[in-house]
Amino acid sequence: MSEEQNEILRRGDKVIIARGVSRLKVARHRFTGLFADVLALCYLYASIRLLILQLPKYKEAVKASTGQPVLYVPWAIVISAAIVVALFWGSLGRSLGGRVGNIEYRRNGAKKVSIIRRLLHALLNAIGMVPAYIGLWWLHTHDARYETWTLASLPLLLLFLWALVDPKGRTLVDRITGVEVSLPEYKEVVDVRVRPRPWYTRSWGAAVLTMLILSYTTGWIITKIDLNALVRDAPRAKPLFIDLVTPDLFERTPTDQIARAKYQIPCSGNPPAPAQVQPDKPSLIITRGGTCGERGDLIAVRGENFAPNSKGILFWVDPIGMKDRIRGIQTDENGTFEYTFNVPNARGTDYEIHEVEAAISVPAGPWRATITLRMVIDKMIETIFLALMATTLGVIISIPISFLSARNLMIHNPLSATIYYITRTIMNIMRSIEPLIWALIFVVWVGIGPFAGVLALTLHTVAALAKLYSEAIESIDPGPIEAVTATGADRIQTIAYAVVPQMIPPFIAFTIYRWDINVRMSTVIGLVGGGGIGFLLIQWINLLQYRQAATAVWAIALVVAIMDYASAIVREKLV
Amino acid sequence: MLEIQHLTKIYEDGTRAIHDVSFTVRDGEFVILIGLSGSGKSTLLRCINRLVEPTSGKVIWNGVDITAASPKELREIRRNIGMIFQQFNLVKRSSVMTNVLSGRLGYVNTWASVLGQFGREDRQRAFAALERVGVSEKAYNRADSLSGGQQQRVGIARALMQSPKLMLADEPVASLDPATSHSVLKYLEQLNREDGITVLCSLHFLSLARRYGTRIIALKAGEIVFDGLPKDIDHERFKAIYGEEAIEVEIA
Ligand SMILES: Nc1ncnc2c1ncn2[C@@H]1O[C@H](COP(=O)(O)OP(=O)(O)O)[C@@H](O)[C@H]1O
Ligand SMILES: [Mg+2]
Repeated sequence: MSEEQNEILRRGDKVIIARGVSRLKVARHRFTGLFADVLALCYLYASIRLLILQLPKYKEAVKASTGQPVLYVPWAIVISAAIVVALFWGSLGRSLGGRVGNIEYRRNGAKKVSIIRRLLHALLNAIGMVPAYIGLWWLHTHDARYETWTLASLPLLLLFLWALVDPKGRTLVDRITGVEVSLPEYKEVVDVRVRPRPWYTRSWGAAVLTMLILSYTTGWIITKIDLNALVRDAPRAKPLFIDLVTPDLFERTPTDQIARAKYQIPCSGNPPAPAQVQPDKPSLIITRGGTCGERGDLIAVRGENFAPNSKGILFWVDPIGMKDRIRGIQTDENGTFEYTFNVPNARGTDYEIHEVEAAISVPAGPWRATITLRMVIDKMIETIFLALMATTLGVIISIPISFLSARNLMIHNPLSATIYYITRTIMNIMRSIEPLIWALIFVVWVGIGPFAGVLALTLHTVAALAKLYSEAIESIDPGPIEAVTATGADRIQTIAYAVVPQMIPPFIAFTIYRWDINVRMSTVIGLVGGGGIGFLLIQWINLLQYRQAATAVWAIALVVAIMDYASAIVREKLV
Repeated sequence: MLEIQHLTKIYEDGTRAIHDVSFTVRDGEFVILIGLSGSGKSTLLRCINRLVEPTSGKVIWNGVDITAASPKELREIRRNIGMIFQQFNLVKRSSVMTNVLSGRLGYVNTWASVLGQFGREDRQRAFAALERVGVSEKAYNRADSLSGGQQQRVGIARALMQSPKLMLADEPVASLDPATSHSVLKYLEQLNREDGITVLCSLHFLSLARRYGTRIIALKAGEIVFDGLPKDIDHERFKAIYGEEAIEVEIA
């Protein structure tokens, strides 16, 4: 930047130092400003329209219409109107775009530009748009597609192209009205006695405020927030919460209470003695039909002193000890039951003794983990290893990529700069796609299971870590690199002695951070078939088995908490 | 002998840092570069070992054209030129020993050094270098646990590992207090007198330059405005170098 380009302007007690600025930069700032204003105005229009459509009158209209948009203004017209308004806004005061693009209009270096001059500036700019509107109108009347209207707005572009040839980056309109633009390069000594107007009274501030209010209002409507439902329908969730606090964890191994009664087929002179009820011991007695008879006879059995409210089975035991199920049985609250049935067609020669057996199953054995719990533990192990594999693979792959996407290493020659931009773009795209979506893709590719999950998480880890690592590389102190290079070390030695030692702390910190994320992600990646505990969870939820699902949820909470704690400790020790 | 011939450096952004600088340094001299901040001292020093690529001009050292050297030759030349810096430029997280050993990298096998394998001789040499600058008891401390003066002495030890014949020092005492400044400069003086190492050192303060230099070169806006003995810088010359409003201060 040579001395001649610098310009010092004095106006009253203010000193404005305008440093030489490239015209391209002026043009870029102005375009950014205009673009921001147009965008903001379109946004305001769109959200107001959305709010109006909420009015009952228009709601009806929307329902009645068949695909015909209500309150529709062609977007080409909306945008061109927005451009005109933006031009006025920018000329008449400090617009939002002026703020964003850091543009202000000045006259002779001072901020004070008379309102007449500003109005003239705006008007002339709007007139500059006229050819565009004529073109638009023509296209409209000739039933052409609105998309081609951009062609017609070329005059506007020309209007601004002028700024590229003007030494001070002024447009034609600027020159006519004697207005110039200021850019951030202008440094101004402001009079400190004058209090600046608060931001919300400025037009750009008011616009920001309006946009915020409109955004939250539309947000409330679009997301269908319904506080009433939240309160009114709370009881619906009650059984779910009950299941959630009683997860299926342990059970007792069942043991059988058994009692038998003898029965002879057919009756001999000496039938078996009827069984007696023994106090405090499960007993089975035949209460109808006697202790002998023919096949097909109706008999009744009664059980006593069994465990109350328990289920079991009634068997017919033939003389050689083979059991045949007669029916399922259930004890009442006193531990008794009575059932009537026909003597089955059991094998056996005449006069042999058969038996009736009642087996009531009671959970009285030692406690053990339920199948649910065992499945959960099994899948939890898979989950943790899924996270481990994805993190490790991700770290290994992202290290070389992070060097390729480190600005300070790659920007020096065109080839490496190209590689830099390509890797950065690919990484940005990969990072913006959530692991769950990657998992969906890999489930199709390699099939349902943990491998798909590993691939999905690895990919996302690579994209995220490559960015974090490359930022770590970009922020290293160049001093040691310079010093080691000066000793005559080659590139590899310089990296080993000056770059790597500086990278280790952020490297460890980011890896642990990613490990935490991967543990969390691996618990849900199964929801879409990527293996791990999430797979079980979604199945149980779909089968409405909420107690089982609760077991999985608690396991996830526990494991994630433990892993968080562990990595906090590791981080403290290493970084 | 070090010959600088018509050296010019224009940075990518168009800054002309040094312009047509020529001078010759004989072996064993203690040359001090002075000049305002931004006058091009650092650029000049870095052009000598090509940490900064000169735009035009030549640097010839003992008959070898450094500016024309291939990358491999350049590494061999660099290992004979020690350099110390204002910010010490130690690897903060590495031990003092590792920092000093890194001065030997130009002499050892690449992969052995990447694995941290230095010979016993090199380790002994490193220890001797640390002893010489008086920080051997800190050999296994982390570099950033040392005080500024100690860190700069480690920087000197690192340069000593190269067995340099020329030492470049870019404002080596600018971040140190006066007493420590003197101790660091005394080590440089000792290397110059006892080992016959040529020293090219940039300094901010004229008083220090007068005390240690055998010759002073002054830069202003990238050009040499004085080249001569310390005693020849009088009031007029001082104003010419530092500007009308400057006053000379004594560093105790
Ligand atoms: N990497 C660089 N890129 C662009 N300009 C630089 C760079 N380094 C130094 N300069 C400029 O070159 C001039 C000389 O700087 P320098 O050699 O650091 O001077 P000194 O060491 O005497 O303070 C200054 O104007 C400085 O801004
Ligand atoms: Mg400097």
